[in-house]
Amino acid sequence: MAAEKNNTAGWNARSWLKLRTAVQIIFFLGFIVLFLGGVPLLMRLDPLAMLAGAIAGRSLQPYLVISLVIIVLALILGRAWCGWLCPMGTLLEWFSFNSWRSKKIKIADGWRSIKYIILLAIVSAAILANLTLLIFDPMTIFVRTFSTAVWPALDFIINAVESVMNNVPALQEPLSRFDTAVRSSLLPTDPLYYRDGLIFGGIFIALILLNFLAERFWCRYLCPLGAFYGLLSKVSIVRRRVNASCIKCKLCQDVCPTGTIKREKDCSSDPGECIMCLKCMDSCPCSTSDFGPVYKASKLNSYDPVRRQLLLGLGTGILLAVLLKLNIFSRHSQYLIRPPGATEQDMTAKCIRCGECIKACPTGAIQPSQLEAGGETVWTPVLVMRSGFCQYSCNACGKTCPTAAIPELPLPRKKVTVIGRAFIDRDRCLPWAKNTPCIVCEEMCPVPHKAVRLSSVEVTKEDGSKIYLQRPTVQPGRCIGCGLCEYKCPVEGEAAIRVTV
Amino acid sequence: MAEFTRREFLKYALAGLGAILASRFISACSSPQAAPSPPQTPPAPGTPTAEGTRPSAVKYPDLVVVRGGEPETLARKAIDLLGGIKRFVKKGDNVIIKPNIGPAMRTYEYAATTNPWLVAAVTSMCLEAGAGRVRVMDKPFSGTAESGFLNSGIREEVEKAGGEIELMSRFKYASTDIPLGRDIKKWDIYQDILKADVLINMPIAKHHSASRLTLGMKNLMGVVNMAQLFHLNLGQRIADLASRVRPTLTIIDAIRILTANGPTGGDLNDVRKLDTVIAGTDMVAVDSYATSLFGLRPDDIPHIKIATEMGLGSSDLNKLDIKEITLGS
Repeated sequence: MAAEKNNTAGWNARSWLKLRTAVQIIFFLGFIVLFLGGVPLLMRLDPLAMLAGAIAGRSLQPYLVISLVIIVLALILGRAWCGWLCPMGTLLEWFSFNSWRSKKIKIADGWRSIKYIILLAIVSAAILANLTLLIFDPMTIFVRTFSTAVWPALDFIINAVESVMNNVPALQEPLSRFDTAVRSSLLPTDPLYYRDGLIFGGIFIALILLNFLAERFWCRYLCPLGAFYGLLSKVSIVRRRVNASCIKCKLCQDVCPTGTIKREKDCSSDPGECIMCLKCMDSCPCSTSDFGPVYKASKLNSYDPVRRQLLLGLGTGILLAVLLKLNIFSRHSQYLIRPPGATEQDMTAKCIRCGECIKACPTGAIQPSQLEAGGETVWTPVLVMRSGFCQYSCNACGKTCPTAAIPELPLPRKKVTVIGRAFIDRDRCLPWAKNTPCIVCEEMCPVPHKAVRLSSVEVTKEDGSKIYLQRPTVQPGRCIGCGLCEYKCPVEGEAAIRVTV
Repeated sequence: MAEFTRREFLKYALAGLGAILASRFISACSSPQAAPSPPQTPPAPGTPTAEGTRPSAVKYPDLVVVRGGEPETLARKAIDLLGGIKRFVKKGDNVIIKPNIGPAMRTYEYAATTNPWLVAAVTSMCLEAGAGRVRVMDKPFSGTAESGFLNSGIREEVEKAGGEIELMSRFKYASTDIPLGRDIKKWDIYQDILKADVLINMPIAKHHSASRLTLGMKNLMGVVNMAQLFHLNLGQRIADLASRVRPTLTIIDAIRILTANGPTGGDLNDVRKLDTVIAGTDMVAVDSYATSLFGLRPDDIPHIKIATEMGLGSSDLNKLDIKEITLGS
């Protein structure tokens, strides 16, 4: 770098920016590693989801201490999380489309209220034991999208590249070593498909494309977690300061990613919007803009949640919580199979809809629910046995769940935990309906004394020939509902053996 | 350091992609993609998969049964009686061992998966004979491959012995002709299995409700995609597959056998400890002998009967040269 702006030796604004970039990269990669490792810490770093979960679930858990620490940090450093650590914010910064954006687009400051309204709605709904609105939390969006869309897409691409490379003899050995190293731990052996993966991927892309309208559009106008930190920032200590010698050159206004620096307001900014990226400090030609301690509450802006927005936000939350309770959708679908040990109540009031369990499930059985459990629990985990099955010796979902909405069951208990029961549809089952031999469900059944039993019969087929058949029946008392039979059933389309509640 | 611009990145990325496509084109022109073409007539029992069969002047027993000993001793004795590992594995050979790791959730005591020390012993012997590469692979059906390799103990023991565990990658399955097949003429088969110089089939002897027993031929269902569709005509389809996938050697693990609730097991009361290994080059013959462990006859097992009719091997135990020994007696 030849043309260094502040060519003086030592620590300067440019150094801070470099440090910030480094921190962003490290944390982004760190989040990916945590995500892959299924470590619940990732979601526990999100105080909004954790506190809303504690309110709705009416339970205080030791891990809430992490949230308190983060809140204390926010009371010192304001929205520094957004500008330094948030994986969503980092991604939006990397895909800012700054040079492609039309200068003509101006979005009124009033839009900034939306994030506060979403935040207040989350809180008031949580008081009514409803967490549906956490689907708008950025961390849940991030994890859910990575689980259901980004990771399957990456797997698809890697597999496609591998199958091409496998044609080169010299690459075959390293390739099989690579595949054995990464598959079934980091990447799936068989392709995984998730319902609504297209929707989640689409939403994510849309959030990124909103950057065409304004830089960090999501962070400025929509993010409820940003709003949460924004409220704390009103009284936080370290803030941006502009001293009287400012010449109003507007350079800082141009670089500010959240557009909170206003020349008409003496180039001052709203700490509730400032993400502490320090770009203004670097752009300032006369070093009048810096960050330091300020010991008074900041002024309120027209978009801050004071009266109308407050009522609107709280009211929206209450209304939604009540309306979703009314449940115009079928609540008890017979195929509503929850992860081992999870109850319907926990799914409403404890599940933060983050999708960590979706990633944790090694067979892809755990899917985001749609409306089968009612609108209230949309995108909570359900098991869809045609896409995967509950592995007999596995309790990964309970281990990964950050709020214990899925309890962490020890393996011996998990193996006897009933999540549903299989039933045989004799109108579809090959040996029952078509006099064709098949015993796959019995063969697969992993419980020690086989919940599927076979009875032998000799039947006369349509053409008059006799055939010896084994027909399966389920022993309900032995079935734990793992769904391996449904997963492997060779009948096309809907299986002839299905797990129901 | 020079700046690396986006344009340059794209340039190199395109060049790399071009190189991959070019190499693919070259390899497609120079070497055949598919596995060696299959035989058109029933192969002689024990014919190795690969071209260049190795006829030998010395007469070896058709079948060996070794009883009473530790897994490693049993394996070494059995292979010695068959003429030693060098009869099967030459220097630099690409060896694949196919144990049964179907039930991913069981440890070896439950006799649902092949004994890990037995697999490790065979791995060591192949390496001692100078094999270039020894891979052990199976695709568990009741859980992830990773959990199967771990729970069965096979990963640990094989890696200690110097072998490689291979996860059966989905891009290595390809639709393959089965010219001798009577019901299935084509199926998705794992290509590396067909390309291996030496394929060692290492099933465990288990109860199975449809085929009655799962032994050597049934174990090969682990090298195909959509194995559950075999059940529509199980006996014939197992035999059809056995006509295409021809192990050099079949070694049945009967150290512990599962007598009920197979192939998954889970109750130690269903397990019997026999400390026995049965080995031979004729998979049908080895399977036939193993039926006696369960008090059955070869004809009781549909796929053994069909395979015999198809000329894939011999199930007439009276006509076979069987060498049985009990160690330490």
